[in-house]
Amino acid sequence: MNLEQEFVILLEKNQNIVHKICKIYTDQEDVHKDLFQEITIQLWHSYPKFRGEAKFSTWAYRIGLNTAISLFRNKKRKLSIIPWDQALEKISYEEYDPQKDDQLHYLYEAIQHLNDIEKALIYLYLEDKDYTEIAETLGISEVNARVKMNRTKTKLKEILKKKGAL
Amino acid sequence: MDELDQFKKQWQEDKNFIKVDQSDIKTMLHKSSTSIVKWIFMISLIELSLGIILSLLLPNSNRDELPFFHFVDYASELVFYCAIAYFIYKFFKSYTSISSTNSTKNLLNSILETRKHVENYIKFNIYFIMYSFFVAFLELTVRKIDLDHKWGSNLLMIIAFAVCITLVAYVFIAIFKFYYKIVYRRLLRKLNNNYEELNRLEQE
Repeated sequence: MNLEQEFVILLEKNQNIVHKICKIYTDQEDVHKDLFQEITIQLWHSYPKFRGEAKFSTWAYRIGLNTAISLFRNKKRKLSIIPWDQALEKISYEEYDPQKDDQLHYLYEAIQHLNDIEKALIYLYLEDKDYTEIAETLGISEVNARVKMNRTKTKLKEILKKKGAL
Repeated sequence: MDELDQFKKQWQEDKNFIKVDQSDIKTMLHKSSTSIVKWIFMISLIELSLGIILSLLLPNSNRDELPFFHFVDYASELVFYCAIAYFIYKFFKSYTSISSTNSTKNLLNSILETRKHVENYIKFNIYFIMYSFFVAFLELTVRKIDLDHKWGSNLLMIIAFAVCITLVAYVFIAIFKFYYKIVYRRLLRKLNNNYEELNRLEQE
């Protein structure tokens, strides 16, 4: 199996990691797609360097968040004039529980009120990452990661309470 | 148990996204990146070459007549080209250190540092242009002062020159500031904010 095929299979399997990052950093569908593409390109560029060094997901968290926080340039198009790849038009949604979706909807909406760094912290918390990994990903000390996480969680809870979801 | 934990499980099970298949991913791999770094790199290259072009437009003095200014010109040129080489070296060095596999803070730092080198380079060019005008002004004054004339007319001429030089310098700085406001305020705002936020965390 060549490198490209290997990468494509891994990303297809782990694509929800990237989708969730796109969803918390954007609120427009076309921007979501643009960010997904940019993260894919960044992941691919550093794939030969990463290969086999860590779990694909661990490495994808870091590059995905870095792309959303630092590299991605949101053009904020109100109307998408660039046609998205035909292939991506094949939309297929998994079956979902409407009640569950409703709660998740509140969560995503509440996260939109956080700043870029707070979003990254909450994302890593929801993905069940430990503080060592969170601190390493963001480049801050573990103590500061804990302090900031507690504050961010409190902020998020307040937003959720205001929305009646908690 | 944390109140937010009830969301955690749902979050982790969430699969309600547009499915991207292998052929979509392959298509994406062959698209070019539109990242901020790419933009910064292109703009920086234009700025770096603009500095060199501007240097060709610097006023030249009449070297045959005044040996002192002849020496000043050569010394300034030497300093100018050494500085250009230094800035270009620093720019490429920090540009190559930009990697999305670094921690967020390091990545932001290396992008902003790369930009800073180009900004310093442009500032240096502006100061150098001002300095060149000043030297040209001095040379012109020394050559034009006619000792037979009254001091009044000489003084008037010097003031007129000084006003011209100040105006030119002012226009250059105004253009520079306007350009940075237009080009970088939007491009770097997000990066600066995020970098400051991470720095604030470490200082608390």
